[in-house]
Amino acid sequence: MKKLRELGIKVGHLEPGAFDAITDIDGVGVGHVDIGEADLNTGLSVVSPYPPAIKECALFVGRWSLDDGGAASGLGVAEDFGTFSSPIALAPAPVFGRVYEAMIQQGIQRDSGLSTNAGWPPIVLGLDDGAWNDARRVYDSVREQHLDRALAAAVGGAVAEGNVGIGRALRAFGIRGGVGTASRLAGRYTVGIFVAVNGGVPASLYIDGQSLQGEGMTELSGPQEFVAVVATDAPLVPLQLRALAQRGALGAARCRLWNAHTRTGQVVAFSSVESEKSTVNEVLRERPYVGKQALYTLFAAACEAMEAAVLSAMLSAQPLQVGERELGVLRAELVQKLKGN
Amino acid sequence: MDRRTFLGLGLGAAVAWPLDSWSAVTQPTKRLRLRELGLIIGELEPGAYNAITDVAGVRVGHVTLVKGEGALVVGKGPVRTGVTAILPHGGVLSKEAVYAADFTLNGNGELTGMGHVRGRGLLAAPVLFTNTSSIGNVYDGAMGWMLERDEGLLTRGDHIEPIVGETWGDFLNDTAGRHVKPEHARRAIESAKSGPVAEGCVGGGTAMRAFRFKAGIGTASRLVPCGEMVYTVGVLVQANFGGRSQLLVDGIPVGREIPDLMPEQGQVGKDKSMLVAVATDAPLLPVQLQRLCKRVALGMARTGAISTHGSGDLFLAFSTGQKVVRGEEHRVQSLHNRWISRMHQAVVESTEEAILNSLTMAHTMTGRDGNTYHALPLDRLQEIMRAQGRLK
Repeated sequence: MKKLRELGIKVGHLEPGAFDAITDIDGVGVGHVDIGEADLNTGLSVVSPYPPAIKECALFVGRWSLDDGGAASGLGVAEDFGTFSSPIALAPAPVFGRVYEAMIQQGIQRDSGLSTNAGWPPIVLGLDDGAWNDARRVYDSVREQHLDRALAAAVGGAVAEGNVGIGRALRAFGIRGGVGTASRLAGRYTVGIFVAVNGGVPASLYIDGQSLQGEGMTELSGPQEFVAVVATDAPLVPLQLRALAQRGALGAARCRLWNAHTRTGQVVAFSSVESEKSTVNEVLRERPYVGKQALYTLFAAACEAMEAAVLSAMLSAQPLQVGERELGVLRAELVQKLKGN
Repeated sequence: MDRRTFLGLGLGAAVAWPLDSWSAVTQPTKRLRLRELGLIIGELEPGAYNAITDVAGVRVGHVTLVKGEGALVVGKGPVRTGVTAILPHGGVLSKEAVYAADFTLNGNGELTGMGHVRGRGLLAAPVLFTNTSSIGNVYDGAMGWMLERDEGLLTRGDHIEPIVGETWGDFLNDTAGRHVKPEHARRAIESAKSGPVAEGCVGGGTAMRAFRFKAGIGTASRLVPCGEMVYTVGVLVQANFGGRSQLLVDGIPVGREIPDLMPEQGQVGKDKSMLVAVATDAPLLPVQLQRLCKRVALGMARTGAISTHGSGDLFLAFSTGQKVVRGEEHRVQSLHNRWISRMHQAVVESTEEAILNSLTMAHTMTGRDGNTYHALPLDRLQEIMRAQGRLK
């Protein structure tokens, strides 16, 4: 069961969806593969925008980034065309190339012509999980078949959080970070977020404007970065999706995951409503357009969902021991003291 | 020794001929559009007027300020400036927006009021081109005009502003004299109409030059067959860039063949600018319009432009294909990307032809202190193109 629910903790004003996860968006799947054990803790996570059985489907996308967001592929095409058709892989930056190659091989199975409507270019987003790993061993350990496994595991429903997939060796707010997810209902639409929390100044986590400062939140090692994927079933166009990604980043700022020390931040937002089909012989495509009021509710949902997903990641994390070094976790008692809970 | 023999001796650039005799020798009285000279750019057919106004609803108006001659007296002139207004449609612009996007090829210029375009992908105001220092007054006049049509403009929180771009026209004009007033912007907007568009030394293009010939406003259009539909792409440029040796006409290095007729007297700055408005009736989303904007650069490059450091090469594209009524839920259409390459072609061809029209339609102009930009000599252009087999 989701840790936030187990503890009865509510973040913000809007209601979460059935799983309080990005998978509340129909068709979206999340898969993890864990790699290594004991003193090697790494892995891959994949957000799949639609089931891999669908051969061809281009979705609208927009992104927000801070300092260009760190290692990333596929976003140049995404920004120029406003579309993508690839699963989104979150991977340790050193094995970026290997994961990219695995994604290409997966993509070729969909369309050997590497069409932009059928899997090309792959979106791979790199994170630095080297501070609590031997980065060289991370480089040596991740194989192409790991990506295949993560993709095969990318299904809907409840999402594993905390120290799974790319979330296994992340450090945040002076303790152990990880991956988290959340969703919010926004009128007739839903917004879901999946985030890899790998930053935050020690003991500076805020939720709903309240400090969650506790003992042992002192670990300085590790980068200041975060990567998030926002999904919605609202039929937004690329410019609106860029704005939605920005509001996701605003949620990251509210909990201070995005702070003055943040080196890179990357938020990719997509709509699950298909943009166009190359197999259909049409000149024009028509779709509903989301007006201002509904859009602002979606913005609020993205902001809240990000805050909730960060907290969910932190609460789901387990203590990490590597040799003599220990990385603590966010204590549930602290969170239960939050006003409104 | 006639002029051509003289040039053949390679002395042309070194000798300053008396201005009057130059004009007598080289200026046909009538200026013509490129197509009227028998020169065809690209493959697609132009619309009825071969102008941005071929996109139904689009209107263009110019106010041209030409007054006085002789030595510069700041505040008195000579005045060589103006305003060009482009209206996406005839309705209340701030209440019925159209989709838009922009692209900056080189940023050394100003296209103000772009927040609504860049943030929301919407154009809800007139677009005005003027000379560099006149942005404030033009903005002011346009804002006054918009307020008269939409009382709620400043209270709704939409932050809609007029869009005003500039290029530098100091060589001919008394820039410091502040001759463009708010009412000139208003008059340009109010005179905007569909149909043929005046080109050359008009409106915002009055003082401009390209490839060191007199230039200014130019326009062209293309019809774009997309399945059972035929859409129109129209381009309007305010051209003010380029070195002489760079000028290409349909790929022929015409500029190198005409090393004479350089600007006379005062110092001409090397770095100028290029403003472009692209209109289409194809329903395109902002993300698609941005791709069209980028292709303006390719059309510009075909004329030989290199986009210099000092240039403000700023392009705006909008689609009249659908209107966005504020606050209302609606349906939105977009052209299937299968057809977008053809739209790209239309933008490239139209931009190239519009720039060349700005040259062939501009006449020789003398401004402050006797400073003169010569017109591109049409007879010599034809002769060069004929020698290259491009003209019968």
